[in-house]
Amino acid sequence: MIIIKELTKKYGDKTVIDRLNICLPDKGCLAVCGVSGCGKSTFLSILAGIESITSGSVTPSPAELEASMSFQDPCLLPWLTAAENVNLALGDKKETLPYARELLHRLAVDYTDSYPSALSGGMKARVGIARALARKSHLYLFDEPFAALDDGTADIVASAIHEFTAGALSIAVIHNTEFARRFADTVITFGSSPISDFSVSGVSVERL
Amino acid sequence: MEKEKKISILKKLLAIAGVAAFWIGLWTIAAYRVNAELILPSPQATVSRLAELLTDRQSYIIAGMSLLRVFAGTVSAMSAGIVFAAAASRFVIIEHLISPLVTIVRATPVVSFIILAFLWLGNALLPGFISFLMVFPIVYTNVKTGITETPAEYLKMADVFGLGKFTRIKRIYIPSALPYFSSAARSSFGLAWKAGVAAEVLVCTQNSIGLEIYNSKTYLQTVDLFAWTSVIIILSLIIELIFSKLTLHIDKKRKSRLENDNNQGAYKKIR
Repeated sequence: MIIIKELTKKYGDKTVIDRLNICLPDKGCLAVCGVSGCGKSTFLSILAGIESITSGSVTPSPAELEASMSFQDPCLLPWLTAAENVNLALGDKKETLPYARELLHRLAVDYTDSYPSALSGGMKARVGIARALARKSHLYLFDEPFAALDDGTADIVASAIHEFTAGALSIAVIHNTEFARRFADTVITFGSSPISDFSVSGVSVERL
Repeated sequence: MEKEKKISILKKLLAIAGVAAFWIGLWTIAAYRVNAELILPSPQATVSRLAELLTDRQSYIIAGMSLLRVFAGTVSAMSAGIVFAAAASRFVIIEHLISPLVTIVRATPVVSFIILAFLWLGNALLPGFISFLMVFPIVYTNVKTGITETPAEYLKMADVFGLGKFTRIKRIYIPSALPYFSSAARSSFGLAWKAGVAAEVLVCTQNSIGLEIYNSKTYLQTVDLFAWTSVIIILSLIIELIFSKLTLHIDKKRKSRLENDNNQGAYKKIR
């Protein structure tokens, strides 16, 4: 269980997350919803250990969590092919490259040896997701994984996420609440009134 | 299409020939009016001396030795520039130590260094050292900028996926700094070549173009001065051409990967 206590994140004077209290389960699929700018992506970045905390605590610490993450902007290295980008998460070894290609095929990306500049926005997003899935972890974080995808492809990606993250906790920021309900077993909505159930304040939790 | 391309090349060549004819014509008229080879030799006299130099084996040894000295200085400066730029990006103390040196080297007239370094190194090593001083600040500054301007999101990604030092250097830092290095390499060799030859002139390095220029001044052989200067210009153009071809090849290879080229991407090709 990941225990988040009084978590506050400020950028200068602007408070993005204000005293968030929540306990996250060890496994399952969580969708984080909420209006733009309510701190969803910051929340994921904090769990990934790439954003610092202003105050409060995350237990175990992000460094101990060793999360794998796909970013809102896929953040692919433009000088590496799609497969080589995925292979980074596998230790950048020659022998793991075929598995990276396999993962990309699983996410319906056929142009595994093309450079990111030659891929569409949706394909780039899936390369980023494949890279996150390639790494073995107990915590997977996906920042708007379905934003650039059509419904059919989103279903393929959702099923791959469920398959590869089975037994671990995966958290995805999703804008479309309807899709979030289909994808996740729990939907957390940021920016709503506190609910005592599920040890939560500052967010609402909907168990599905 | 092919025909249009040929016409365009022909037009360019004609334009170059026209410009060259204009300046050579002007030079010929000026030499004719001055009518003193000691002050301004004619293009014909210069070309004929140049032809003599080109048939003399010793000229090749002299030019080769000058090139070798400058090349050694440039390659050492490039290697040192890369190493120190990497170290300065990692350790602030090294940046603090190197930055004033770079500023001083950039601000000091090259002739001051030539005279000072002559006292320390003698005339054989000096041209290489001066070339080193010309190239090092350019390569150091450019490569350091390339490393420090590596996009932060790439480094965040590297943190998330726990990429090791070697992978970060190979996959992130080197590709990020490469265009900065190639731009430094393109501009620095020409500078090193000119400064190296200037050093040879001032300290009379044995077997050097600089010494030939010095002798032409001493014995008032202005035709020799023009001919050797032509050698410097020709070699400089050849070197710059080689360097720009080499670095452009690297840049082109890189750009073909990065640019949104319809002919490159398999996905877009099919679309």
